[in-house]
Amino acid sequence: MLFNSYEFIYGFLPIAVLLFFILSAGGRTMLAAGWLGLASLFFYGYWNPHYILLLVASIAVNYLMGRGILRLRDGHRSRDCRLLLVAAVAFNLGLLGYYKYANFFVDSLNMLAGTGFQLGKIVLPIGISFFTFTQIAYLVDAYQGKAREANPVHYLLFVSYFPHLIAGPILHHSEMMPQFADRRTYRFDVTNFSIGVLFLFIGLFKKVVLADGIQPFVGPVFDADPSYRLTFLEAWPGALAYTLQLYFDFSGYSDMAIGLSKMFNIDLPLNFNSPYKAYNIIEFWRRWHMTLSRFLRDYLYISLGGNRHGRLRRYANLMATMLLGGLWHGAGWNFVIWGGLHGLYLTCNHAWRNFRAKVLGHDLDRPTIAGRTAGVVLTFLAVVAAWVFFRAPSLPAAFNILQGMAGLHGVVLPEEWQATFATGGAALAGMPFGYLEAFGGARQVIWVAALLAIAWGLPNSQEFAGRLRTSVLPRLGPRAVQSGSWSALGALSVLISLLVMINGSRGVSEFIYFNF
Amino acid sequence: MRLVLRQAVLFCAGVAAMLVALEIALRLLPVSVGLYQGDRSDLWPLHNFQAHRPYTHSTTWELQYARHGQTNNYGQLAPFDYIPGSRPVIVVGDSYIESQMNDYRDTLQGYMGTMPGVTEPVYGLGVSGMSMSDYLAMAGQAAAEFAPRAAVFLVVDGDISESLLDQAGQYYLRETTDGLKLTLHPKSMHPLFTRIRQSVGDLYLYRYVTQNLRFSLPELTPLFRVAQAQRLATPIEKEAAAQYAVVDRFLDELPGRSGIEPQCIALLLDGDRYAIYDPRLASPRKDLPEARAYLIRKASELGYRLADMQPLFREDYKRHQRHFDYYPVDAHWNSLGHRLAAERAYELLFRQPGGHC
Repeated sequence: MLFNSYEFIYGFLPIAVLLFFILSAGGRTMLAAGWLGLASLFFYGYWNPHYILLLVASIAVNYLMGRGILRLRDGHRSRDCRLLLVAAVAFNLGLLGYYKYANFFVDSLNMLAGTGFQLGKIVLPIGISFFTFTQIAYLVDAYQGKAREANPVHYLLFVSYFPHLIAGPILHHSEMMPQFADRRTYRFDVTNFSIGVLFLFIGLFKKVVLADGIQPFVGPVFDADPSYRLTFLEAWPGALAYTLQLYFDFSGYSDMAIGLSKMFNIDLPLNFNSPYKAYNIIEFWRRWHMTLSRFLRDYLYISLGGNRHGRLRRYANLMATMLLGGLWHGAGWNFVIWGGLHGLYLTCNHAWRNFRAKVLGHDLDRPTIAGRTAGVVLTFLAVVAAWVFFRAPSLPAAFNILQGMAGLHGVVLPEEWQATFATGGAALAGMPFGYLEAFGGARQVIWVAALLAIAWGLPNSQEFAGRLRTSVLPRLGPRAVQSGSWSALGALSVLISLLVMINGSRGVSEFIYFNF
Repeated sequence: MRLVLRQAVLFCAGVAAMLVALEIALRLLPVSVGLYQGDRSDLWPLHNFQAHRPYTHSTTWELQYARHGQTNNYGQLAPFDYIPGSRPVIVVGDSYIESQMNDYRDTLQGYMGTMPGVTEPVYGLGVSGMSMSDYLAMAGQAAAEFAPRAAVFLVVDGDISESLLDQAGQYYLRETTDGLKLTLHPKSMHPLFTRIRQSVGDLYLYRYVTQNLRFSLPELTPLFRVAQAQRLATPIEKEAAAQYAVVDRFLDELPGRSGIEPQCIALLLDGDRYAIYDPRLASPRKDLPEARAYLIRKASELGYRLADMQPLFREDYKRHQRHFDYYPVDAHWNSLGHRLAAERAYELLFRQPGGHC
């Protein structure tokens, strides 16, 4: 079930919310939590009922293994405890490996060894990467004594909680379990509820208007036959369109998840913080898919040794982390290259920072405006180039786009601009005019410019909500806030309905990260 | 209780304020407005919309391809009135000929009217949603009103199969023991609903939702989906026989109803243009390919002038790589599609051996 569908907005969500607070009002908090868990399983099963069993089995096995790890740890049987952790992690990775990577490895083996093994079509259960990583983190924390969850209902809810189940944010038990146990969670709060609805609206707007609005300009470039040589003015706007589509699609989804959860008085961690405003690639990864970055840092990079064994080892760890991060997104060489590129960017960034601080003696904490601007532009361009691999359906398609961006296939101006530029600079420079199949014309230029302006110039969702909370609401007083919340709910419900209708007018529009 | 009432009032106030704000904002934008169904259903389809009204057309949520125009004395989209008994060339079709998305001069009838040697007026008689059964009705009404000299009929995918669908407000070919019979399913709506629809019809928000977003409440209901699925589940043999019968009925009756000899009737058959742009975009057709082939064969045998636009479009696309429609947003022909069709119709009616119609 998609957050932007009629059945979710007018069916699932109202029923889930209503019953949750009805059960909560009677003081039956465990029942309310159980209801939310069951509703989440229904939400998951609506996509494909067969995989409910897989999800439930994964939750049950991990819960029991987590309990086992805790018991062994409490009994000071550290060797057995470690063995059980290894087995539990292997179980999770095995599940993920089978569903997500089996065909990739077999295909790669066939390619390298010239064999002809076939596994058949394995359907990827939606959200498997997310619920697997969430549970691996829980197991590792149980092993380290940081997690002590005994309540199976809360554990079920922690993993299956519908706002995050399909595409994150990737949760950490320490930020969720206390909220599930807190009695205040089960009290309806109109201010929280309306803030949740506000986030839902912002996320829906990002998805339906911005991401899906620019989406028509992506396909003609990325899905073009590689034999069609994309020119400069086709490749760049196409790559920029995808860069913006992905950001608004995924951050829109995350905002919706945060908003939906807030309606139940549960705070989810933030996942985006204006990543395209980052002035270096290190900062980019602190702003993009923040919960995945946190997971990769805490459970992979640090486990590999982090920066504790010298500079070279640190760079190798970074590269390994990013390569695996790339592979996490999808079973394909495109994702490996994308991860590798980011590993390389991060390595260069760390080496450059080291060089500037130690050799040039620069103060890295006080960048100049020019330096910062150049950093933002350079970081953005590097990210755009890497996204080409992320989206392209094949390596030849990716290279075709990159060659076009580099101007290797020439610069041709669209013929419809000929009348405007015939006497202008382009004619003087001798630039040819022609039919550009993969260029959306002035509309595409306007879309890209507008979305870049939003990404670079406007505050993000949490900054907007933060300003509302710190600057506007305190001036109104509690009674006015309460009244305003009800009116805001009314106004937002109209806007949300309109956005859902706009979405419905275009057919099914899935979120990009559902593929991962 | 008072608290709940207060909260409900505040909520409704928010709803109302937002509805008003949206209505004001949409009034500044080119929302599809101004076209209202004519009052006399017995004169439909010749008298389509209310006469002499300005309208705006745009498509999709983004209000793309905005066009402004006016209905004429017959409620057809044309910048001039049609004159009874003027012996025109009539151009009949569905939304392609109605052509809300094009300026009049960029339509088939607009182009034809300016071609050398066409001294007769050219009248576009296009109504969105029509199929072959409606074309028969239109031909009869046009014959009585204008006594046309020649005609162009545009047949697009769905025109054959949809002739069998019993839809409120439209003509359809009903199966009887004597074969197919042209029947009008009158539109009947409770006066209260009509009044409500008329009053909300002036709201830009309502128009935006129903026209631009194509929102329809019944389509969301499971019952509608079941009915759709059942309709699609018709056995193919039965469908083929029925579609052949529609073709027979149409070709046999058309000269009599329109008062025009087959050699002065041009049938233009649209094709699957998206498949020309990219074979991966080929879509399943509503009309069986066999029925389409049968139409071509039988029309030629009966002496109709006929052009299959598919090879023509394919050839043109190979040469110029230009789309004939608003791909991928709207499959209706754009100016180029209409111009090519007009040139072909002109050749068929005015440049064939045997002379001018």
